[in-house]
Order: sequence, then structure tokens, then C-alpha cells
Amino acid sequence: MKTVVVIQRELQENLRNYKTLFLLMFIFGGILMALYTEVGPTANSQNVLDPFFELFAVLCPMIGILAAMDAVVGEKEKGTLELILSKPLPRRSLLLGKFWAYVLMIVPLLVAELIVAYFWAQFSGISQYRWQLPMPPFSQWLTLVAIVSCVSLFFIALTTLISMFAPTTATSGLCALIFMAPAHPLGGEFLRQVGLRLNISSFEGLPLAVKFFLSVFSKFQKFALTSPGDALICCLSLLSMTIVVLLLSSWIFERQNVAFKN
Amino acid sequence: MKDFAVSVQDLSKRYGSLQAVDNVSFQVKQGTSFGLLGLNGAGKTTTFKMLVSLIRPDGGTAHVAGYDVVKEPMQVRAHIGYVAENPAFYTRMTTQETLRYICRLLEVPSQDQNQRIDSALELVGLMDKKHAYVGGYSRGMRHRLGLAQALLSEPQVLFLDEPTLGLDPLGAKNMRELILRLRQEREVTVLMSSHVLPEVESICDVVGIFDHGRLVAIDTIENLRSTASDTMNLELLMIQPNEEVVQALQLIPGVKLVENNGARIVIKAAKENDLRPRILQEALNNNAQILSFGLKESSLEDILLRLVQTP
Repeated sequence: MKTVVVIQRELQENLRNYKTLFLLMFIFGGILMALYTEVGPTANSQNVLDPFFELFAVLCPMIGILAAMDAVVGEKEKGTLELILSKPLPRRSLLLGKFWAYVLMIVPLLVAELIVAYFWAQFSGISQYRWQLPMPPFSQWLTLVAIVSCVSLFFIALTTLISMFAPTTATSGLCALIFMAPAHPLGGEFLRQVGLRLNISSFEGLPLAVKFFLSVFSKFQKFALTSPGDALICCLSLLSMTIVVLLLSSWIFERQNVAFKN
Repeated sequence: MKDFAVSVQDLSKRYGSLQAVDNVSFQVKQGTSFGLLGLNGAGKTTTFKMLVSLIRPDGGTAHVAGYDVVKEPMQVRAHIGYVAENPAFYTRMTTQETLRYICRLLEVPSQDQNQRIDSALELVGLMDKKHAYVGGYSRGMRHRLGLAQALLSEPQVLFLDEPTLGLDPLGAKNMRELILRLRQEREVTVLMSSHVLPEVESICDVVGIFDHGRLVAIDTIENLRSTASDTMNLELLMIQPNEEVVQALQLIPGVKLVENNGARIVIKAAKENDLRPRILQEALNNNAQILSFGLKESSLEDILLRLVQTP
């Protein structure tokens, strides 16, 4: 119940400080960039999904980081953490409330804007006259939406955890950015090099446990877009990791000797 | 235990190599007010934060409003009010929204929330700011809002950490009056930490003096005055300065110091033998034209400085 109280307050605050509007514009800007700039498809692109995925694989972790980078440290900086922790509010409720508020701010926006983008790209004919590429089936597009949403959730949880230890909001954001490495093309290159050394050329046939950990890499996520079974594994892995990070955060936060601002 | 609103036994807290609070024990009776005094870094705020269950003690036990601060922190927080040294609020929320949020965290029934909010705002004089954003508040208003939010739980114990810090003289006076009014009207137990010693004197029945994490003295201010030193301070006020009186007083056995301030003389004399008749007699013998003569009470500041080990 108190988690709901925290969610409502967070949403109220974030609407008033234009954080939600900023994130909305950020996602919208990403879609516009994917549709109308040269970020677009490569020579290997099969369909319009490629340019969107390449961009959103990087954008979604950033969205998660931007939303949650001030989760705990922001309260410390403002001095409000002392106020709310002196009330009968379990610390895990505070963390969960913040997490769900960020999820409610981001995921509906992301899903709605990506679905609108699909129909826009289809009906405007941009896929043909600009890229000469077919549109993917809608089900495959929804797979993209599901995977990038799960990536966002994971990064919200991870950044929330980081914000418990960071001395400032900026440090929290910067530290979280380091964990974006698997989403970057460099992360893909790292996987390729490891694959070469182990004589593995494809994700197919890898054990489930390995796929579980590979889910944080955008290269595997891209592969999963064409394989429904792997897409499911990818989403479930990311959700499991999100839950584990949240549980760990709650466990630590309950025991943490918080340094309050005087 | 039931007579005590706060009961602390061997409470300790260490930060790295620093022993912030070292085996502190004290009890505060219900309905009384207790002041925590000490220099910066003496351990007052750490003790406060342990008592409101914001930080976990390393050792010892503490009960607030009958609840254990380690085992039942939610119960402790539900029965206390806490005003931090620098009360901070969400700047993009109005006064009413802020207090409603606190009410909901305290699980105040929704039908009672408006009444509690209005009553708290009325008491602290912020009723006209009910719909104003907290971001526009001055320091003094934030302190008053801090007090208002602390009252929403209808607390049994009120913790005030430096309640007048940074306030102008008028703001500080208003805050003091507010705290005294609260004590009278709501009969809450007040625990207060402060550097402003006259404030502690005017509000607190009992004071505890902290030094390097230890509670070095705990008593009423009167008792501290009488026991903190082996000398008594006497003040002799004359119509005009008289050097002969000063010289005569210095010769009395037991007189430790004579401060000559012109027509006003301060005498520090041993407590064992009451030297007041002898001093008065000597003054009269030297033709002093006396306006007044009597004990000059040690200020709380004198007591504090005498008890703590200054570097």
C-alpha cells in the first residue's frame, strides 16, 4: 500500500519537473532519428527492424539510466531522504515505489511510440522510398518492443541500485553508463572475439544458462528478434535479472547506514 | 519502563576509527523535556538518529514510546515526530500535498487527514500557505513546516534537532514559543539538541551533556549549576568604584578570584564555607555604597565549557 503512495508522489513530482516530458521527447527523438536520418539500415539489413533496433538497443538503457539516476541519491542531495525515512515507510517500499513509478513513466510511452512508429513507417511508405526495405511482420515488431522494454526495466533497476551508493546524481548516471557496454557495438565485438576463440559462430545451440547471461548483450537481443524462442529467453532473463537486482537493492538498502545530508 | 518515554542503555555507534557515541545511557520521563548539549561532533545528532531509527546502533538498546528502535523501527516512527536540523521538502509539492503525503505514510485514516493537516498548519501559523509550493519557503517557514509534519502522527515523543538553527532572532523566538505551547497543549515529551543554550534553559527540564561521544553529565539545570563547580560566583554592585573594597576582598581566605569591573565586582569563592557574610562585612567596612549583593548563577554555557574537554 505504501508502495502505491510512493508511486503516486513520484509520478506527481516527475510530471511537474518535466522529467516525463523529457523522456517522452527523448523516445520520440529516437524514433524520428531512426526514421529520417542516416542512422538507418546497413547493407546487411533485412528489414526496417534493423535501424530501429540498432538505435533503441542503445537508447533504452539510456532512458532507464536517465529516469532512475537520482532515485536514492537525489533524495539525499535534496535532504528529503531523512524526512521520509523517519516515517513508518519500509525502505524496500520506497525503492519499489520509485522503480514502478519510473516503469510507469517509461514503458507505456515506449510501447505506444514504437507502435505508432510502426504504422507511421508502414503507411507513409518511408520504408520503401527511403530504404527500399520491407516492413517486418507486426509480431516481430512487438518482439522488438518487448525486448527493448525489458532492457529499460533492467537498467532502471540497475541504476536504482547504483544510486544508493553514488555520492551525486551525476556520478550515479556516469557509473550506470559503464554498464551499457554490452549494449554498445563494442560489446558485440567482445562477444565475437570470445566466440572466435571458443569456435562458436552462432548463438544457436548454446546452453540456456549461457543465453541467460548473453541477454544483456544487444548482439544476442538482435539475434533473438528472429527467433521467438530466444526472444522469450531474452525477455525472461532480463526480467529475472531485474527482479534479482531489485531484491538485492532492497536487501542492501534495508541494512545500509545511510549518510544523511546535514 | 512505562514511566519513561525514552530509555537508552549503553548505546554505541562507531564510524571507522571514530567512536561517535560511546555507551550512552539515560531515561526521559513522559511529558518532560530533555536537552542534549555538546560541542560539534559530540555525538548528539548521531544519538538522535539512532533514537528515531534512522541509523542502526552498533551496541546497546533504546526504547522510544515503549518500542525497541532496532526491533520495532516502524512502531517507533509511527509514534514519534522528528524535525531534522535542516528540514527539507519536495519543492514542487504544495504544503497541503506534502502533509497529505506524510499522512498517508503514517496511515492516518483519510477522513481524519484534513483535520490533522489543518490543525498542524494552524498551530505553526502556515494556514495561509496551505496551497503554496514549498519551494518558495524561507528557512523559517521550512522549520515551521518541519514541525507541522512532525505533529501529524500525534506524537508521544518529539525529536527536535537544532530547531532554531539558522533562524533570525524573531524566527527563533517564535519557534521557542511554539515548542513551549506544544508542551503545554499536547503534553508531548520533547527531546531537543541545541547549541543555543538559553533556548535549552527555557525549554528543557533536564539536560544531558555530551562530550566525545559520552554523556558526561545529566541532571536538571539547577543541579548542574550547583554541582558542576567547587566555586560560587558572587556579584557585588556598588554606586561607584571602590579600589579598597577590591583589595580587601582579595585578602579573604577562600576567595579565589576578584574581577574588578568598576562599580561591579565579581567574586569567585570556595563553596565549602559560605563566605557571603564575611565578604559583605568587608565591603561595608571599606565604605562601599552597595546597590546589590548576591549569587550570580553560572550560565549553562559556563557549565558546558567546564564539563567538556575542549581541545
